[in-house]
Amino acid sequence: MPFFVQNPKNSTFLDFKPSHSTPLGLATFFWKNTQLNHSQYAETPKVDLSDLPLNDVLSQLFGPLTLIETYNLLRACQKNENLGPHINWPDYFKSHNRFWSEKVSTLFDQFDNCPQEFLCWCNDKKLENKDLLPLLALKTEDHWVEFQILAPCWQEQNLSRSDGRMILDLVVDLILMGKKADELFPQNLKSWTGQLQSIRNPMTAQRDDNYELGQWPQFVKVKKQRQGDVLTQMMEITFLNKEDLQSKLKRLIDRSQGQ
Amino acid sequence: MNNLWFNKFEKVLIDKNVENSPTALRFIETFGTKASIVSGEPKDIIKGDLTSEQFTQSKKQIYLTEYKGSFFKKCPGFHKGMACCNYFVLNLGFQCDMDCSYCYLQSFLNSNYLTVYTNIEDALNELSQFDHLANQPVRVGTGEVIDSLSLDPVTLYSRQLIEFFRNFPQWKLEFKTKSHFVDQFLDCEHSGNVIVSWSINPPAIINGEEHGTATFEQRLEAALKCKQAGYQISFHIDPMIWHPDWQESYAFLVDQIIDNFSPETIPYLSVGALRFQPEQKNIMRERFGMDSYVTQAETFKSQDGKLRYDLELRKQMFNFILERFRKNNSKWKIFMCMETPETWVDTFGHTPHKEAPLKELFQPIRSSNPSRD
Repeated sequence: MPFFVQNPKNSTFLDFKPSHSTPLGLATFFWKNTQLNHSQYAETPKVDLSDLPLNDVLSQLFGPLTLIETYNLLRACQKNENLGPHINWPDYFKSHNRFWSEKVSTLFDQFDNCPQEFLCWCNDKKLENKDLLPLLALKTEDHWVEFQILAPCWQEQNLSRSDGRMILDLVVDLILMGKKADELFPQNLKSWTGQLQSIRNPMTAQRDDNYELGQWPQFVKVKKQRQGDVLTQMMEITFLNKEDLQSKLKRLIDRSQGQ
Repeated sequence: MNNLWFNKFEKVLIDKNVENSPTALRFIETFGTKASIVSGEPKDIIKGDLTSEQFTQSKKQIYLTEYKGSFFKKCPGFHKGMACCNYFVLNLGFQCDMDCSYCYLQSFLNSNYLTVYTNIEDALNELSQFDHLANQPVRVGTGEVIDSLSLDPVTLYSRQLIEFFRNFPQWKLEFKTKSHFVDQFLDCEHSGNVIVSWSINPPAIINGEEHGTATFEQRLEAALKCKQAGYQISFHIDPMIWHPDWQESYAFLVDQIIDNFSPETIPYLSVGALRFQPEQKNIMRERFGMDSYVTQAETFKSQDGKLRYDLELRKQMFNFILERFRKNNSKWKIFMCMETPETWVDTFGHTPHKEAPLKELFQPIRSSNPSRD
């Protein structure tokens, strides 16, 4: 049963704080002489939960956590000798609809090498294991040196989740191909993805560049657009009314048949 | 089989329930002290998402057990948006002992053991249930999630399958392999409906990407032995992999097939280009770095979600192969594996259902027993 306690002597401190606040912050909770949470008030009741399983205590206290928060919690618990041996991570993961495996453990080892700014971006965007698997390919010190130089860019560029994932994949490829970070820094705020794709896929970039759009009437604007594995042409037509549109479409059809 | 082949396996674990099956007895005889009996699953079996090391481990340890599910499945190429060819797969195991850099099992496998199912009799019983399709052009392949022949000198499953297919002369049985192990079934009596096929690539790609497989020459030599024994032969030039001298390399490959075989001895050939699920890229990159033409490939998401070369490059590669064969003889029957109808139309001018020599392969199966439709 939980019970109220005085300030425990020689207590240790769990170095973890989730990014969301918990309603339980109204009290300070202890487990085996370790303070588990920060309370927003100076004088709060102190509750000892040592009789309850640590897994349940952490789950109740912090609620659902993102992957990066879970990693931070795991590392904080591992550093604390009062807590480390008492938590069953496979069960903890399972109770939060995640799956603990050797692969997750290896991925967490890779997070140890990632700069804080990068992890913060991953946390903000709620990235999951599968999004961060490219990091597993960074195996040498040289790889990490280059990655660490580039890593703050995700946050600095305020990348969206999908752009950030795509860029991570490209950056890892390019580092493994021997490219240096200074070749990969964003040159243009709008299209870091495009810049990296041109370096990563030079043959396709050249083929796309050489593709000729052909001659089209003034009333249409045509531009090339890569959509996955095909290079397409996107056409924008300006027209006044239905009759005008029909006439222009007819001209376009006649023209395309002649080309 | 040689010492190199034998030594690559670290252990063979046999489920106690199947220890007296003919397959288990042959594994015990072959592997001696490397083989041991376990009650149920191996203690160190890992199920789920594997690390790259665990995946590599799965190539070195074998687990023999019985399979309790359905052995017979429709080819994975059979889904909306893809042109497919009445192909059924019969899985008598799971995982391959060879190690191709592009292998899709890397993102698919969920056990650190190469599993061999010992209850082939159940598989054959299941196949017998399809006797209502006896007169339909059913094609059954055994090489989807395990190589058809790389362990066959020990399992000898080929012999049982060939025997079974003698009762279904309209059906085709296809072994698909990258090994050169064929001697174990060459003496079997067959009804001419067994196709022994090789997934083949030019020597440069075999050496760099298809680790632990038979060499180009060994595959060709094995195919010639099968041809001599009256088996039908097929080659799957798949996945074609772009590399700086790809035209020279693939020209050599096509010429070797042309020089040694004829359209009469090869019922069909297939071509396909490199493709993989986006998530597979991670484990390939982890295991092979970027020193591989596969991980280096310039790939983009295609309409079925897989990563593929740019459509124009794919068409260029397919046309190169088709033209070289057709320049030799217009009777070569070639189809594209797991390609979109658009690629078919752009390469052949129409979908496979209208390609005269391939109509039979792509005609829909109609059951003669309505209750089973």
